[in-house]
Amino acid sequence: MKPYKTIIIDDELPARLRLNKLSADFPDIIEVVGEADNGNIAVELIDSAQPDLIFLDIQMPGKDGFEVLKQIRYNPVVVFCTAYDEFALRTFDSLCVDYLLKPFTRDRFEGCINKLKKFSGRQNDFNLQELSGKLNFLNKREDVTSIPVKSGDRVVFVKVEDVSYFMADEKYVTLVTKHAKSHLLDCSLKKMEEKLIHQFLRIHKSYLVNKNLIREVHKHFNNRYVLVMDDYEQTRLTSGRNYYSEIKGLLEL
Amino acid sequence: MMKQVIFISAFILIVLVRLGAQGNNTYDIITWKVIGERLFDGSKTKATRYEEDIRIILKGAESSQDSAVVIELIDELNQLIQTINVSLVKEDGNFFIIREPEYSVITNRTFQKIVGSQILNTRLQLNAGDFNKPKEVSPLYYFVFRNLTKIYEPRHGKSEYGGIFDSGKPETAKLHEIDKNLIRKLYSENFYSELRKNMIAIRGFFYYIHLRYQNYLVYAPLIGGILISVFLFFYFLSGGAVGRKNLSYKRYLLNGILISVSIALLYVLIMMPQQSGLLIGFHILKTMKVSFINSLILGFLAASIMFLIEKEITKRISNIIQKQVLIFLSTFFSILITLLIIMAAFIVFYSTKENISIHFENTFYLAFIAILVAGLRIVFNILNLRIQSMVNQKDVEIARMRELKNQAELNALYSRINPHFLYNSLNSIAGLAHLDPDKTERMAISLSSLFRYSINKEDKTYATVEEELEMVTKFLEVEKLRFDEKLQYTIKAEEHLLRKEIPRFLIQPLVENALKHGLAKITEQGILKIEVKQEQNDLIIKVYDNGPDFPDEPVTGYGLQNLHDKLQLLYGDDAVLNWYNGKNKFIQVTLKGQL
Repeated sequence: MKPYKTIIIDDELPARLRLNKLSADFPDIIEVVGEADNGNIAVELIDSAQPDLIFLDIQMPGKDGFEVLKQIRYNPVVVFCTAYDEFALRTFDSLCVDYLLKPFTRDRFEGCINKLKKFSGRQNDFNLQELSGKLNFLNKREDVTSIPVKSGDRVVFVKVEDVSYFMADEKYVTLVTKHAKSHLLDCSLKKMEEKLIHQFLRIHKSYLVNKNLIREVHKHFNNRYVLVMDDYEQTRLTSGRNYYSEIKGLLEL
Repeated sequence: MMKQVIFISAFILIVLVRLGAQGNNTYDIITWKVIGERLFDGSKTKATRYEEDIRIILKGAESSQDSAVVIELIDELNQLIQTINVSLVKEDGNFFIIREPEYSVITNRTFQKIVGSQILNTRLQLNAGDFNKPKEVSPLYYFVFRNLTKIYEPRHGKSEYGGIFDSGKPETAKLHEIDKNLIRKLYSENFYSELRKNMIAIRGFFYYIHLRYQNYLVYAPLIGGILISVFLFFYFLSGGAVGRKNLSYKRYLLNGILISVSIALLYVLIMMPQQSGLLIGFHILKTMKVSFINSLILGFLAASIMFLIEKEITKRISNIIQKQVLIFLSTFFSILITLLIIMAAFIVFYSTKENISIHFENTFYLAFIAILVAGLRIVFNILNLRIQSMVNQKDVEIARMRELKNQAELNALYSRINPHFLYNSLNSIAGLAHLDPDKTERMAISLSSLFRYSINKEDKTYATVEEELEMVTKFLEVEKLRFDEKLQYTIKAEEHLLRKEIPRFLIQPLVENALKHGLAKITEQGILKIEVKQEQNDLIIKVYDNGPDFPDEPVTGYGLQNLHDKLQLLYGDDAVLNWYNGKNKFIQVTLKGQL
């Protein structure tokens, strides 16, 4: 069996050194033909050298591992080497031959080699969508817990759970806490909505409310609702016509 | 201006009331006076009368003429009486008129069953002859009229109008217009409101109050006395008497006069027997005038003497028990001496034998009071001391609890080395092991001392700038394993700041952030700068990096919330965290007023 022509892609020198060293112990399976320390070089190298196998780190500055996979035209066999936690990486089982969780032992590397020995044929075309979805899931698993707000000469942190709602006017977004304190933010309501998608609901072009602090929902005419927030002022907010279905969806939960 | 308005309104009101009281009947005034004197004795607020229909039963009538007389009387009464009906009945009566047979002569007997101010039953035993007399001088009329109510001795003498309600004997009484008027008023619907109006107009407000509410009024001095005692009790217990500066002369005078005047007032209020006199108020004032001046002088002198003595005591004695004993003696003797002085003054100016003996008597009482006052003073002092010590104890407890809470919160916020950092570092070190053993050793040791610092066995909240920067350097050395040439860092700290104390793990998270979110995100050369400097009275820590700008949106994983909370706990508003984007992007912690 011919050894796999291999390219090592990792931004950290020690990681590359280690893979090199370990691979040197299995010359009949792995033949290292190149290294890349960032995503751009990696793409070029892969497309030009057309290796059989790449050891790919996911977390790299600039282009990350996923970006690299999206951009290459050639499809090598992929072994992910990364520091995500094991449980998450198991989701990659179906998508790659093996993954190496840093720091990995020599024995673990050997296990990977064994899999490669048994593996025949080429890697199927990646289902990039699925990969991207899983990556996004891994990325976004951490819930946002605080929002930095510039207040005078300093930055204060407002806990997300303390925010009652965001209100947008022409230029700014105002954050209103459940204790009726308000802060001006530079960020757009849309960005807030994206980041806080799990905890907040957009009910109007100008309002983004904390789902956990909605106290009552009253039907209003014209496909609108009136929401009463469980904050200090018991704020009443009227939803926009276009957001009717979002709120209905919330009620059905 | 206000005072004048009030006076004028009051005057007008009084005039109106008096005018309103003028009845159509010229006898009205006398009638009311009689009502006031005869129908009330101060034991009840209401005048006695029948409240239910009067059902008269005549017994022993021999001829129809007897009953005719009674019927005529009943008619007369019904014209006068508004509130109830009078009638002659055969059974179930509540007013018995018993005509004794001709041959028996009895002194007319009357019997009334009264509950509260309501007559329930009346029994009259009359002689036969009483029924024959003409109306004006009829004993029948005399007794029936008088038994429609209850009559008392007048307090201010008889009215001398010669009527039924005025005389004690039927022989001297004549049925007068006033008598009828009296019954008419007594048994009218608005008797009490008319009573009030007219009594106030004719006799004055105090008379009216005294008339109806005397039995309550009697308690007023007692209640007043109790209120004053309660007030004094709380005043002295609250330590209000002591004030901020313990031994100020003003305080002594104030307390001395307060006590002596209160004692005089209490004496008058409580010791004074329940006067049935109308003008208790005036009486009190009269007695007070003399005691008032006496007590002022007493208070002033005694307090002054006490002040002088106790100033010396406090200077020399600190033992609490000894101090209290001496204060007791000082109080007692100060009062006694003052009394003697006042007495001597009296003897000199008003020397008559009478006066002197009275004064000697009084002195015994007052000496007793002096002991009482001295004793009470000690009691209050001790009580106050105990309360004070309890409060102090509570304060200490609260302070301790607050400290514990702070400590717990700080502990919760304690910084750990980021586990991800650990993975990566160990991985890098493992990779180095065969290639460069010396470097491996150095890195492993750096990592280990970083952890030792993080564990913080001694529970210290603060570390010197030097110690913190040493740790940051070790951290960066290890990180350089991963970043290699891509990481370039400089650390600058002003010499005199190196020994300054700052919170542990203040700088490392900032640097870690700069690497994780800054330098790790770029592909070109990463530059990191750490500065510790002084600006006016503030200690400034700045960390520059050339990575991407701080985002405007909410973020996770920055660990800055944690840092921010810790700074809040330790410095409150004196710690400022801020960051600046742009060409020289940096994050800064300012510790205000630390230098």
